[in-house]
Amino acid sequence: MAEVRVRNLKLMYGTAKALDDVSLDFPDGQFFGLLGPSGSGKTTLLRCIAGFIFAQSGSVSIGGEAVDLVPVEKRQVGMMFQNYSLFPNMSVAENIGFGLRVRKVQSSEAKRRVGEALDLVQLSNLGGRRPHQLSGGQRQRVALVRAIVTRPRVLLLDEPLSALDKALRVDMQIELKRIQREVGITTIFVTHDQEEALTLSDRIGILKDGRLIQEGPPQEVYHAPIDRFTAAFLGDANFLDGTAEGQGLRLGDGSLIAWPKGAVPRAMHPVLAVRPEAVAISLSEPGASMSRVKGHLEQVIFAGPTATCLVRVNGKVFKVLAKNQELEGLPAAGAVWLSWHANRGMVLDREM
Amino acid sequence: MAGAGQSQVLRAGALLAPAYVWLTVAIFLPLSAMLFFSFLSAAPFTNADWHLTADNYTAFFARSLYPYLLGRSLLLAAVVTCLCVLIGYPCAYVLAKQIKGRSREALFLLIILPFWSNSLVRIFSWAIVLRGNGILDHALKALLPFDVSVNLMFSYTAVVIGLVHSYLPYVILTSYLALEAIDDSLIEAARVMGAPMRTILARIILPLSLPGLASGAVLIFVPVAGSFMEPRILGGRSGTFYGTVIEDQFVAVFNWPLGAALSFILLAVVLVILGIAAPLQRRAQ
Amino acid sequence: MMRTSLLIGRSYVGLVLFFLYAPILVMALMSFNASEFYALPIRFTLGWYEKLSGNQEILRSAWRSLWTAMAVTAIATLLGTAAAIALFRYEFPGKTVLQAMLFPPIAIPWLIVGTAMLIFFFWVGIGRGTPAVILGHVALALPYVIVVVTARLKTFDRQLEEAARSLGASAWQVTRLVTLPWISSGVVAGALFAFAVSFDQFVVSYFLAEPGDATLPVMIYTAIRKGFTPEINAISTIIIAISMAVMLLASRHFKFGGQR
Repeated sequence: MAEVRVRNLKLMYGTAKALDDVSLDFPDGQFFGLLGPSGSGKTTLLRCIAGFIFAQSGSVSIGGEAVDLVPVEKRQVGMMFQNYSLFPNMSVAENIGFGLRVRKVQSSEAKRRVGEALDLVQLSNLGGRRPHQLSGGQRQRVALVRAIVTRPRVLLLDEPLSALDKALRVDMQIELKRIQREVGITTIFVTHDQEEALTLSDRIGILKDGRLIQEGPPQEVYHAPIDRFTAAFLGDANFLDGTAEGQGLRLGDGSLIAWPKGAVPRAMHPVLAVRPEAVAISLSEPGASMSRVKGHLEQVIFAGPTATCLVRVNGKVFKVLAKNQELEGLPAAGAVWLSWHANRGMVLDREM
Repeated sequence: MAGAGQSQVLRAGALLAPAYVWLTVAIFLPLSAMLFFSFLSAAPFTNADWHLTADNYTAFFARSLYPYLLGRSLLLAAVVTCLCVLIGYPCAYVLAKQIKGRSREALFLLIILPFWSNSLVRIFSWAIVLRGNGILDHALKALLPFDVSVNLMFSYTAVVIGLVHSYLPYVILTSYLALEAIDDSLIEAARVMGAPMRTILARIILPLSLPGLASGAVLIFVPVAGSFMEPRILGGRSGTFYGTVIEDQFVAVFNWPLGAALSFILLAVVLVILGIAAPLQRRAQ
Repeated sequence: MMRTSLLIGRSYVGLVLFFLYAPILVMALMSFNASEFYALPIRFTLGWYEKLSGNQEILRSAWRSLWTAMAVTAIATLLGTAAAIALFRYEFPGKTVLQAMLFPPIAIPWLIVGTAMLIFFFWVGIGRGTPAVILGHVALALPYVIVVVTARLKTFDRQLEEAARSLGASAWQVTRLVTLPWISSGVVAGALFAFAVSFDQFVVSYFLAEPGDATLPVMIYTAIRKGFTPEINAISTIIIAISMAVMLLASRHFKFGGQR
């Protein structure tokens, strides 16, 4: 197990910046989620750490040792691929034992470790099968233990769950987390699924256009996004435009929305954001202690336990996520009040 | 990092070098040597003095025999190509669009199997069929009420039959692959819109399979233009073509520089033909 | 109406097959006919095959053809597979040029290639004879091996190589344990193509073989030009049986459309 450090990685493909001065620490034994839209550089970063790609400048170190000149096969990393990449010409046990075989591990020792690996994912009776005889979830588990049976210093996961259907995916998330905890291995995980990243990760990093935007524990990043992009990418957000004043943000209709307690905006033109689930919707005017705006309810989109209300506020659409009982007595359309606790407002310090 | 890139190039080089050095020594250097040779007055390894000259090329035009034979070979190639297309394309169509399932695979295999068997032997087999008092003669005598005697052997017709037999599988192979790639729903869509079969063939199937058909035609035309073994065996005295003249320069007359020049003129013609056919072979998007 | 068109179609394919196979079958039948002048009806005999088994000249050239083809197959398959893997695995400048270089040996008439080889080999001192024949045949077979193996590699998931490397396999281990097992059927098909190119090769052998040292097709050509004998029928029948068997084997490994 080891900590991974990435320092000032830069990589250009022609004029396109695949990695733009990325520095990041992946703490020992933690589950780190790399998140970003496609083309953000998250997979490129993962492949740099694995050693498939060499950056033009900057360095990667694993467990304090610089690995920039070390080829993939010598880096002692485990990697799990999007489509699992199980060798079709080998049985399940041979697939898992592949890394031990090429390292010339004694066959009795290798056999024991393959057996343990199969036990770990409850596939002990399937060692003789070929990959194509397995279900998607089984293949996924074989790919996972194949990556860790060689006791790598780091486990790299490249969208490992994206090929599974939704129900199976949730099971596998739980399993993945369990095994990662049990083995205690530093894990770096690439995904474009924000919910998956939030569920699994001890820390997350958000990338965009090859740059690291924000990094930290999931709760922190979710509740205190640094800019509009992160706020909108991780969950959903409503943005309030206005002019900054000492106590709060002065909106176009003249009302003042107080800053959250303790938040002192540092930027010249700070933006205030609020999550749809933090907002309450009502016909009557809320108490003055709450942050509030007036709006016009335009549409209610039913989604089972909750509903999304689209409310026009100062010409812009505001999303409100409400439980169904909160909507009782509300007209299908018309004037409404929106309110939230001032502390639920989020000040975005970086303008993008 | 530059180091990693360099080692990749080295590894690629180590894997590629043996094959490509071999191709260079056995194909590309010989072709260059032949070009050089075609400008010599005599072969350098004979005792004769030699110097650079264009005489071998002027000899081609000086004797009307060579242009005539080149024309005759090109005409033969055109006739054989047309016959192969006319016979092979419908066959490929039936295979690709009418016959389905396992029998299609088996029939297809049967058709291209001779294409990979010994061409010399297949030409020879026609000699047995076509010769006077041969099988064709016997068969026709048995079938027809009146007395006939067929002796096609050693004729232009025999050469054409033998060559069509040799090269027919090419055009079936390439047309079949192109026809099979045409989505059946395109044809169905045209039928739903009320197009008669004739229109569908002319406006959809033929244009879409033209690249394959053109590739097949080129694959036939080029080697037939340079054929010499087939005319020798089946053509007898009427089997003098451009290819047989080149053969003579190398194995009978031993005028290698002239042979090299004649070969190179043929190569030039071949390249022109490949150039003309290239746009047709490109996939119509 | 559909049924009649289907019937016409099938009969047409049948006719084409008849045209393709009839002369070969006739030749095969005649090799069992006692009459030297192909008289009908056939009187069965194995006499021509017996006579063949005593013909040292033909047997020697048959043997030479066979082992030449095997040597060519071994060399061309090894070099061609290595080149195909490199073309698949690495990106480098000039790759398209290398791919284009495979085209001339296939597209240029063998007459031109054969005479060019004759000139060059004589000039550099290799001369005619079996080494020249092998040198030439390998060059003709290489593009076929590379094309067939490349077609198979196209179905190969590159990520399997990456997975193997991430598990600690060296470049050679990746090739041996992951890549080669996957493309093995393509390699076998390529080898069979190479064998066919060499074993059935007449034109290039004709220019490169020493007169007293001929391969079987060259030997047959010389014999035919002297006059037909049923002995040639017999050896031709054997040759065609061998080459068709080889291609039938190849077809099990390689669908000619390039899929599978």
